[in-house]
Amino acid sequence: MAVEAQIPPTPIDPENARMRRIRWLLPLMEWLRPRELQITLFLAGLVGFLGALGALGFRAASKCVQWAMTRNWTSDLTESFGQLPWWERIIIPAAGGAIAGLVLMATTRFLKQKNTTDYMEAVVIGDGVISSRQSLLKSLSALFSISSGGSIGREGPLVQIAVMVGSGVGRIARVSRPRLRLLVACGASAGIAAAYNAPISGALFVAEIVLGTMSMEIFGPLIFSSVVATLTTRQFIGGDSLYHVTHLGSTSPSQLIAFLLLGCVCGLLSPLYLRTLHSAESLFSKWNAPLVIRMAAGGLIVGCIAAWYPEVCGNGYSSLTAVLHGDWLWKELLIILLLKVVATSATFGSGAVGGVFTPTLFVGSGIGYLFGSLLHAFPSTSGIQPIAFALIGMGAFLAASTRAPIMAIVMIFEITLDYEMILPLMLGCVVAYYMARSLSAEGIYSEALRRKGRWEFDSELRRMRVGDIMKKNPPTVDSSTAFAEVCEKFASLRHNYLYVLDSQQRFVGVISLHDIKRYLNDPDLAKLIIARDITRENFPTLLPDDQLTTVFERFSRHEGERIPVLSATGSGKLEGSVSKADALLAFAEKPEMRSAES
Amino acid sequence: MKVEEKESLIKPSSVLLNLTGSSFGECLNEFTSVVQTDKAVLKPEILFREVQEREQSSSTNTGRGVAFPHARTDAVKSLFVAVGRSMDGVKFEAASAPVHLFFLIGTPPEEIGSYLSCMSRLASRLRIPKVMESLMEAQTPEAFLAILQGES
Repeated sequence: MAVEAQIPPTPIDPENARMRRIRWLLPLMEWLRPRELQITLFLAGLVGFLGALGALGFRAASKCVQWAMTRNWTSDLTESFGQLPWWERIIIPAAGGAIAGLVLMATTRFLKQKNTTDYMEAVVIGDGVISSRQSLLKSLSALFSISSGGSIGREGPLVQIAVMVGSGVGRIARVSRPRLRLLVACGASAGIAAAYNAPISGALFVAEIVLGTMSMEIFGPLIFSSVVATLTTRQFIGGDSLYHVTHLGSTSPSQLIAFLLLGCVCGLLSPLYLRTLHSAESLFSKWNAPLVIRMAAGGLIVGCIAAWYPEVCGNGYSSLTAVLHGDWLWKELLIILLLKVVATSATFGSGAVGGVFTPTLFVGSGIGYLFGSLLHAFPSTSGIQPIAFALIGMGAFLAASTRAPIMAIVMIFEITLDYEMILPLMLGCVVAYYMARSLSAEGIYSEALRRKGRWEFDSELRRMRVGDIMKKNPPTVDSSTAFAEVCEKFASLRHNYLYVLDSQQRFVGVISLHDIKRYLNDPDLAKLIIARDITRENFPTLLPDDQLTTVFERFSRHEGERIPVLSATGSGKLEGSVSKADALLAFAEKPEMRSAES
Repeated sequence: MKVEEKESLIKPSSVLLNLTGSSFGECLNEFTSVVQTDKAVLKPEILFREVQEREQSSSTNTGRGVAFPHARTDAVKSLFVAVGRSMDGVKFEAASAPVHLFFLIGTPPEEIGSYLSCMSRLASRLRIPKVMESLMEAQTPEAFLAILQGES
């Protein structure tokens, strides 16, 4: 009994309550805990939402500027231009061009850049860091070009703003570099989706043109972002398809031959259209005047045309709608089409920034309509509807110019929502794409993308090492940390493994959540066990100089989400960690590696 | 239950009911014969060294009369547990309560799961004051193990 007295009674242990709390909290958190993919999806959605808000803001701003210029609230630029006296139609685009030029000159970087054509949809992601100042200035410049009647697309700055948002969100969330690039791409996808009310095309545009990949790691977040952007936009400006087309009915097999021919025509004319744009650009760049003068001159050319044909002003939306409704006679359309190409060349050539997408759609629809009208004139084919040809022409010309046939097919379907057109559309787009590709290697965006550095980054990807995609400062514990603290650390983190360091900060091994899960509520173990008692030493590691192939080799034998990266000096110090998702992202963008492995 | 299977690994021959040492080191040495005869232990001296090292980095004294000197080491080929009882108690540190029961545990490095389950089960059983009392009164190693396993 004397012995009994020596045994101290069990005290009410504060550890007990603490461990019990963790016991409840941790499995719940583990269950609710977002994985890398979910976090990326969430951020992609956020980018979609904010990008769409930015796009809406730009729309509102352009309306205000348009009012200031034309004193008319009509949403349609062409219409408000049509109501102006002829001399104002000449002056306003010139003045708008001059202001846009001044804004561009505000950043010194643009002064150095002689060759200024800037198709803003052609986002170059680079390392994912997009300058907000430049994006805003470019968008402001585009705002003046567009609102003053320049023949340029509004979608360009919408994409630019959304991209800026994507980069900002990624940097605030401190995501890794491959993931930051992905969020920037999500921004572009949101921008296109918001501009055209076309979520699938938005994602496809980025996948086909900007990134050149369809891997699901990338495509999933792109889709998510564009869906959120579309929903956000619809809340404010309604969810109708962008272009209302009368239902055209099904296509007979004999008509398909006509559509196939149209595809050929678009494929032939597209390189010509691109060459015209390029020639205008080189003509302007030979002229050694300051940017303000050049852009004012570009505006003046548009203005002079607009004095007689205000239809050439703006991105071409209303003209396109007119074509799709069959409002014009073919002679009238032919003239407007040619003048529109001249106006677009003048605007872009003079150095205005903006989108080339809608002008391209208009040119395609014009070509299609004229082709349809021509066939209509023959007695044997008089039953065909030129409007159907306008639609297919739009898609075929877009496919040939952007070199993104899948995006073009889906885009036309999404902006018209007429499923009957899908067969001739697919046919026309693919034929036009192959025709254009056999004539010229370059699409409308290839040069812009190259000039802006996409290919440089691709070659950098080829040399990519673990150090480039690793995330620094992973969560760690000291090897003498008590069990209770280890549990709390797990509860506050999103990882399955905690890295254990010794007193010299060298990597010892990991603690696996799986190992300790059952003992989380154990107050007896709280102080009794320390980190080193439960550390797994034989854990795979990487060095900063390792190649991506080594990363995959490690992940193929390890089911965790992350692998620690140790110092290249051999000191055993922990430098960071590489996540499987980041490695896959980097890999998905690296086509030459894919082909080498397959 | 799996945990109990592990506990039955404590053989009566691994239970020392009368430790006489007055320090941690002395008590540990009293396990020498047990460790040398147990087939689970490959290198007794390495096991002792690592247990002492581990004890230095953080005490395994629960403060309730029980200590769990342990090590994860290659010196054992499977989970090994031995028990020692000191009627007078041993003071680990000057300020701490005397320790009456020593559970010497060695476990192979990869067997984290069985190690944790053994520690957890022992610690929770020994938390009960009645169990402690009975263990202190047990007359034979068999009776001691029966109480530990909850058979009485």
